[in-house]
Amino acid sequence: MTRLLPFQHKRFPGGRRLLVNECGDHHFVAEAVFELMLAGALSEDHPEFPDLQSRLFVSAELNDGFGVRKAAAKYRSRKAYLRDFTSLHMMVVTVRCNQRCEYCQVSCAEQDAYRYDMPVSTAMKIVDLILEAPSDSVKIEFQGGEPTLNWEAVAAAVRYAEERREKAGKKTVDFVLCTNLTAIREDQLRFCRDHGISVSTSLDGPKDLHDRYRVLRSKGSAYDLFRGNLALAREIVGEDRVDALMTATAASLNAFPEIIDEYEELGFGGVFIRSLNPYGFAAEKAAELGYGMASFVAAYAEAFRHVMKVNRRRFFPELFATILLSRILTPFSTGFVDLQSPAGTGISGAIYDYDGSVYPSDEARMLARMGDAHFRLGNVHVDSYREIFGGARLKDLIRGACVETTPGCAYCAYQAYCGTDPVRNYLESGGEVRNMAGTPFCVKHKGIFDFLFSFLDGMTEEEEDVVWSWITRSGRVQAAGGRPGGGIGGRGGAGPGRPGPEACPPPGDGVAGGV
Amino acid sequence: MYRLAGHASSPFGALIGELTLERLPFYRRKDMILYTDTPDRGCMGYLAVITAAEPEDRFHLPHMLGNVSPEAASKLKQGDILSVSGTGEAAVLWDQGSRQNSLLLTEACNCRCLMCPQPPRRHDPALPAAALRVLDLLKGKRVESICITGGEPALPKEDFIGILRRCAGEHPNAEVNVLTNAKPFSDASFAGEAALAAPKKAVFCASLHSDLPQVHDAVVGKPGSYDLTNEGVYNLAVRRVPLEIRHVIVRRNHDRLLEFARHLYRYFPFCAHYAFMSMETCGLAAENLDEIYVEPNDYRDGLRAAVLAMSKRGLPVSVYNTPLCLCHEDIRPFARRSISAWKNVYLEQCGRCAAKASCCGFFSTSVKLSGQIEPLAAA
Amino acid sequence: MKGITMQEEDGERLILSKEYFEKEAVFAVASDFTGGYYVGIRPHGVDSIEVTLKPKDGAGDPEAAREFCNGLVEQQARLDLQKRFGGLREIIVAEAFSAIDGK
Repeated sequence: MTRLLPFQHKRFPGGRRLLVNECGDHHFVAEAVFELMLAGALSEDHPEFPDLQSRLFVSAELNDGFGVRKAAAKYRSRKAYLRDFTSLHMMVVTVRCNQRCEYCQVSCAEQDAYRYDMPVSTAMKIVDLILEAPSDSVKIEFQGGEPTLNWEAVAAAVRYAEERREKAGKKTVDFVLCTNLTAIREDQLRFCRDHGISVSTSLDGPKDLHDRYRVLRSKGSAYDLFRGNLALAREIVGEDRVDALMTATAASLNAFPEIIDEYEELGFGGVFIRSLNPYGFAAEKAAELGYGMASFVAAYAEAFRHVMKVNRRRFFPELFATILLSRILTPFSTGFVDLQSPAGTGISGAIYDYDGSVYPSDEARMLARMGDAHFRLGNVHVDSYREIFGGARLKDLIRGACVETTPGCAYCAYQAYCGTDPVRNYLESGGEVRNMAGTPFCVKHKGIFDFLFSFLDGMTEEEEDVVWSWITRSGRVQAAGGRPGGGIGGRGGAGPGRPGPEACPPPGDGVAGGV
Repeated sequence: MYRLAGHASSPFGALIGELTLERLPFYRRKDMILYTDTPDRGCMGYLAVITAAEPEDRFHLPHMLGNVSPEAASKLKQGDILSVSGTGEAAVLWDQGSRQNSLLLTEACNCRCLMCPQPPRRHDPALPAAALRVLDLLKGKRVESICITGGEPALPKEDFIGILRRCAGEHPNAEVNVLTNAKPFSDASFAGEAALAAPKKAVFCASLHSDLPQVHDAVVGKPGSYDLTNEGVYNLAVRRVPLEIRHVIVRRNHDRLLEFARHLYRYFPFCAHYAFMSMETCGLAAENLDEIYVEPNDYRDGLRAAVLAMSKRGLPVSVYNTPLCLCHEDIRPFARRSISAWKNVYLEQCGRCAAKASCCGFFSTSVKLSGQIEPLAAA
Repeated sequence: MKGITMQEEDGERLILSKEYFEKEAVFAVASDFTGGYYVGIRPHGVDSIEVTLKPKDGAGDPEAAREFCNGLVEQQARLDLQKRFGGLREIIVAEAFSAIDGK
């Protein structure tokens, strides 16, 4: 009799059944074949047997010795981000902002509210803490508010980290400046160039869309200012050192193709179609800006098809798809904080507020600003690294944050590729763990996975080439990180990068996705 | 291995030494084999003498291999390492200046591959002894590459580890390739020893002939081999030993090349290099020809798909032993000139081929060559 | 379908045979419905379970009971599969997180 190895499954239209095994390998079979498997009646002579065996869904009776170890090694590789503790560190150097974007009101303060600036001494304390993280490569993202408004803290943190890097035993410390570019000065850009800081900015689409919700406190067009400074930033910092992220409001849902074209026209190397973070803005704005995740998924599918068309002409990845496809198609760990199990909060990324408070994610920080410090891990002025990252708060948070044990996720076919976010759960339901079925998080990810798997099941050779070009070259064009004020809580790199002999770890080791 | 025959002066035991075409001062003769047209009294003190002349057995002269054809002898070079024996044979153990030299540690094997070009034999302790002797003679010389091979070279465990250590110590910059079925490394502690002993740049080239246990086991002729090879490869990989996967295309596995490539990416992405190889049809391969032979036309589409699949996933892949005219155009850049110079031949029609200079050609040792060889036009 | 009796008159009362469906499957599917419905689960005789779905607001989804049944069939299939995997899932995860030489 054939032996089955553990897998999850899902019915697809057209009599297809998607199978996903424990270590993230997938395969489509006809419903009839699935029924044979269920009944324990799939024989070794069945024409589907070899492919199922090759992908570790079944094993022949005589040979099931090493399959389990192989699956385990791959499982270990895919969880390698856990050992890269903690690689993405976001510093909120000020909450002040020269813009007042509609979807970001909770996260920004008046331009002259100087008490929301991070003191230089706090910035240096934070750097000390970051350099204590075991990960040998760390990335520090400067966020806000608008971080260029408190340049003193940025410059001090960069200089101090550079000075301490070697002694702290870090191979690399990367810096990212998350800026709206509308308040940046030339000397700041030169500083970025001289210190290898990459720039991550925000672009919502063509002028009308961009200006619709991205508002300058000083009036005038944020878009025009952005365009001028984008050119300057590229000239000074370097063409490939400036990335942009978009935030989709209800107004952009039917304009994804135009937004994508705008990104291409402005010379960006790709686009990240990103849904709105529902927690950053005031409730009365929700009706205007927000949307149901089902409509986002439908719009996303259209965006994906449009990007595919662009890719017939040139290399132009959509970065959210690149992350998800990397998870589906590669055997590596991908360092995307938002979608990990156990959750990436605290493990892969942490955020430091202007006053030195430490949170596992940006949502946790916002929650604290709204008066609920449930997720506060500590403060760099009074707590040690061990107390903050080794304390009961983070352990409790992570212990429950696994899709494998979450109701509604435990049997989901996409479990191997998805993740969970206890902070979001708490925000939406008051509990860190809850049944995910029907939540916006689930509707969005399940919907996009459904779409991508249908795409994969029927893609042409040409489309497959495009997908692999995204996955293997994404290291070069990945957007740098979270965005100023109420973003997605930061992210690591999109894909595993190009696997070469050095990049490819032994079984069970895994690549951290270029965080 | 290049061999030449003659008549021995007496039935002496095998001697291994370095060839010289020029006479040397007496104190430097002890390890040297002299090639000379005139085996006179001046040959005293050499380890042995090779000559086209009649061999002479005189008590003050070294052992001699005579009546060697001058044409065969003309291929010998200063600095080659030869073994000469009283059975009337000489063999080039180390071809000076070549990048394809190997140390044969044993002809014993724990597999019996259908397409093995060198049928396994009982282990002969003289082989590792000869390999050690070659290393003695290479000491202090510039060596670019060393291939450690068998049989299964890791079967004589102590000799294998000892030779790895010596390569690491004496030729730290040489490229060392170990051709293995990886089964011996399923023993984790032995894998650990090998990882410690091996030179940093050593690549362990493991043969893996299928993504399916039953197919691999049928090809290598020993049930249970697939699991042991997998385990051996994983044991080496977790110890950070650089690896290459070698996949020989035979009838039994030729229809799953793309799935095999996909399996490699999924479960063996940590290797430094991957090679798809066409067969050398001699030895067991010649005996089993009907069972294993597959026309290149029957796998060229699959080979193309597999190579392109690996390449677009970023895995370094090569095609060995496959003439360019048998590869689809888009995978020709992956084809290497992989056949050792001494057994490399071209066919008559190859003379008209524009790509001959970059083509691997054929094994002169093969009993069957494809009937599908066609000259390529200049690009 | 065997093992499921739908009470059509009030639309949202299901009688499920214990012979076909395990408690774990019933609860897993029931918990997916707690967002939009008040879900009641109680014994029905010795060999059946009664499930009631009462929409929290308005009429609810007319297909809810059918969706529940479909979910239940899928979930039971998952549980049955799970049994066929035996302890392999645990073995894989344990092996994955064990020290490399720590066997």
